[in-house]
Amino acid sequence: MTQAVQVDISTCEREPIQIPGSVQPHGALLVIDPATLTILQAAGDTQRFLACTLDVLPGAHATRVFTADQVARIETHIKAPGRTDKPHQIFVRTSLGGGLPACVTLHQIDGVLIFEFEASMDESQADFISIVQDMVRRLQSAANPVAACQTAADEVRAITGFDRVVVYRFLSDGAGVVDAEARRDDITSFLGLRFPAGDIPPQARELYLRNWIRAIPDARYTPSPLVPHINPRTAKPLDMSFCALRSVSPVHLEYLANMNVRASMSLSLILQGRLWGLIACHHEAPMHLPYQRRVALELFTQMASYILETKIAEGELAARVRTSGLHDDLVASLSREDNLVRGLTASQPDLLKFISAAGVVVWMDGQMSHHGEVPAREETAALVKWLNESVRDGVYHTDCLPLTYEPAKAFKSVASGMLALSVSRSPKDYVIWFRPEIVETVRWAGRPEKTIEEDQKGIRLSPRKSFAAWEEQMQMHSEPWSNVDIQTAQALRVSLLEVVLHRIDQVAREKELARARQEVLLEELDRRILQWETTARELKIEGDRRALIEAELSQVLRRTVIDQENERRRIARELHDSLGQYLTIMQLEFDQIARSESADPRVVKGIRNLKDLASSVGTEINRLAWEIRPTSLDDLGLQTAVEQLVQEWCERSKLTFDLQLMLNDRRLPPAVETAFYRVLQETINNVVKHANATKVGIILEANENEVSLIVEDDGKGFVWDQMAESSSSRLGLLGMRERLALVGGRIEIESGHEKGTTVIVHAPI
Amino acid sequence: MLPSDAAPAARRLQVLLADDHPVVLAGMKALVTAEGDIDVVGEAADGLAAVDLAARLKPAIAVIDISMPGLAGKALAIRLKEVCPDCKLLTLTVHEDHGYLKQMLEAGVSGYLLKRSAAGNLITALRIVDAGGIYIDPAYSTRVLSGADVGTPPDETDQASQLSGREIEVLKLLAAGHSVKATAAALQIAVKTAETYKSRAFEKLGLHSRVELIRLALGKGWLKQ
Repeated sequence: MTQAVQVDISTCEREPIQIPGSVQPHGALLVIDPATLTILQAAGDTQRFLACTLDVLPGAHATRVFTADQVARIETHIKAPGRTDKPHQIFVRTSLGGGLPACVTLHQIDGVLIFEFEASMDESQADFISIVQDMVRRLQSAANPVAACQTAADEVRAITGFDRVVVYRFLSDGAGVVDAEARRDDITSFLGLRFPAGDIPPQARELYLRNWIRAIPDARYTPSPLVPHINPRTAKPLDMSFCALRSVSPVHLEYLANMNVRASMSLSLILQGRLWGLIACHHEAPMHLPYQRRVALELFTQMASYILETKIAEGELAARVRTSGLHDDLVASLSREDNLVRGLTASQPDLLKFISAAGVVVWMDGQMSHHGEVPAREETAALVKWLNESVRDGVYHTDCLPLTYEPAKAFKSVASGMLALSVSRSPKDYVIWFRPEIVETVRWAGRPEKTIEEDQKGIRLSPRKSFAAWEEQMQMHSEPWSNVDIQTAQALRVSLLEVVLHRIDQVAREKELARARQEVLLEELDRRILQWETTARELKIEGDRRALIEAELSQVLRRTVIDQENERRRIARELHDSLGQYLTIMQLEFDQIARSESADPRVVKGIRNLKDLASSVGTEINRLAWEIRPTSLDDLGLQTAVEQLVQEWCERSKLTFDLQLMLNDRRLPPAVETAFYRVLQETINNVVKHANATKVGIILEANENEVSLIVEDDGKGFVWDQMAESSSSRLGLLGMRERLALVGGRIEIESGHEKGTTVIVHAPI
Repeated sequence: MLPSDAAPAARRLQVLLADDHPVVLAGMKALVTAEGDIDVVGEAADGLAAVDLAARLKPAIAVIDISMPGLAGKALAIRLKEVCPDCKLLTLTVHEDHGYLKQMLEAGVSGYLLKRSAAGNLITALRIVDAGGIYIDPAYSTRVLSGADVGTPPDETDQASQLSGREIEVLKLLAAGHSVKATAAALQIAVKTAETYKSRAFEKLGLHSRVELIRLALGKGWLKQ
């Protein structure tokens, strides 16, 4: 059976219906060479229209059948470009040598001229334009596409008188359904019946797109073959795509006969360049519509196509207006929501209102969110995988998913219909609407299979014999997706992509913003650094200023120290040189008085006492002078002065001194000598006062660059931090530092609890 | 007291007096001439005059002050010894510092007399010096020069060889006069560590002070570089 059906379909589809090689015999056809005007081929009822037998025509000149005047008009016609691609009436001949009055049309194809002769009728004089105008006016007033279809059927039947006129619409699977019908009351109704796709094979549909009209005045005709069969000019069968007289497929004739149709006519309804449907006319008796009437109907069907398109668009527009409102709300909600999935699933209006379906899935980043009835997660995952692999469209829809995607049979009850829109490229995210299976009862115009009959010629196609309604349960189908549904989905996809892009933009913007913020921060940082630098500069300036002041103060201090030392030196000298000398003189004078002869023993005794007193005054003066400033420091140098100082302390205290003095007579800059002497003085004072030491070691040495003095004791030591700030030792230490600073020297103190104290003094020389 | 004619054969002591104080000079002259056998052959108010007179008069003793304009003190003493090698020198001064005494003794003076005791002791000093002795003012008799400038040589045992390289480095730097902190910084070690090296090395060498250390260092020639 399967085998047989395949034979059927392929056979039917292969039939070369545009080159049948014969014509319907209600007219005559001539093929003429445009260059020589020689008749190349002839067919049809030449006897009736051209008053000669078929066989005499091939090879004859056009003048055999046309008057000179007619030939002239033909020549004018064929020279005008574009005038002959479709058949046009070039003239109506009243008679030709006894032939019937005929309407003659001409068109050119494959470089040859094709003339068709048909009976011209009196009514051809009627104003068909105004007839068409009336029809169109009534069609336009129809409220909706369905009503328009009905009006079209009614109008066509009204002006043609066919027994039955139906508006036949193609479904997505290629089958046709009768949407509207105008018929004679006593004949079978086809309204609502479905005709299988195979009834009108693809090449026939192709011809319907090229030709707005096709007529078969009598389906029981005997085809009249072309003589000769092959065009001698082109060496090919004649392409009769545009021939009104073209003979149709014998299968079709049989089909019509089985339908009990004697005469038929088809008008194409072409919407948006696609064959939307047909206005099909049936008559139980032969019926010939003259050329002029057919031209009027051609015009009508063109107008009808246009009007129908408009009506459908109007209907869709209303739906679109409704959904675009929802669309705007949805997009608004999306843009409010950070998360795209949440925006899609949690928003009002929900996606199921947006596109009517039983369930919807939002599949993003492998996460599934859903509303309503949808397949299970694994099933959806597999479906998404299949979509990724096999579907390229941004919006994919089907109302019979299980027929294209086998696994969907398992969940056909929720997902026989699917409308999927991809939101991103790879990996693809999807929004998928599902419609459940609707088991529909379809009434076929007869069993929708052709049968294969075997006769003496072998296997032969045969259309079905009965067109009685035959009911079928249509499974694995859902309610089909309307254009509006699909367009809505497409619009939503665009919006979603925009949102996604916007998101990406936003991320980029945020990054940019962050970058800008960072830049601002960096700028701020730079600014701060600059501030700090400025502050540092100011501090340095301030520091320099203070250093200058300090230097000035040092200068003052140095001056003061120098002045003080000079003053001390002066006083010490004065004490030695003046007071000391005077005391010496006094003693000498006393001595002399004592030696004089007149001396009274009491006087002598008094003088002796005075001498002793003067002597001790001298001793005191000497000590005083030394304490103020030892002259030896200037006269004999630092080491001698140090020795003297230590000598003094040896006598005055219980300290034992251990000296390592290595300057000998070497003299140092006076300021350094003074500073070191004073530092040593202060240090020994401190040791005596605070250290509770028994031994003091003193090292004095110098190389060519530096002089150093080290004073160590074995006393209790001290911790600098624990010294009261106002303590005399601390102040004394500060004084030492100052003195040393004046000569560029420094002082270091090493000490610790019970560790003794070592004072180390260095100064450059 | 000897009568002036009691020893006619006796030699007369010729003395040169140098002092920038005329009154002191006069006072001393009176004191000296009162002796009878001492002649003041010359008087000088400054060092150069004293040298000039000494060279011409060849006195037995020159009494010189330390503080005088021109030539004075040690330099004057040396100069006088040059121009008059036989002339003995007696310092008469107000300076009591040991340094002066030491310095003058080194310059070759035979006596050091403080002016405050001159009235009582000048004659004694002159006579001792004239007799070839050395006279030092009695003010110094109680003062004992400590062994300060003598120094106790460090124990030259091989204890130093027990030191580690680091310890020697620390000791050398300490001996060179650096503080422990500076030593630590120079050797790039912690101050505590430097202190540890120091006390360990001191213990090994039986040292108690830097002074002892520097003597050891001098002995070992550590300071020569």
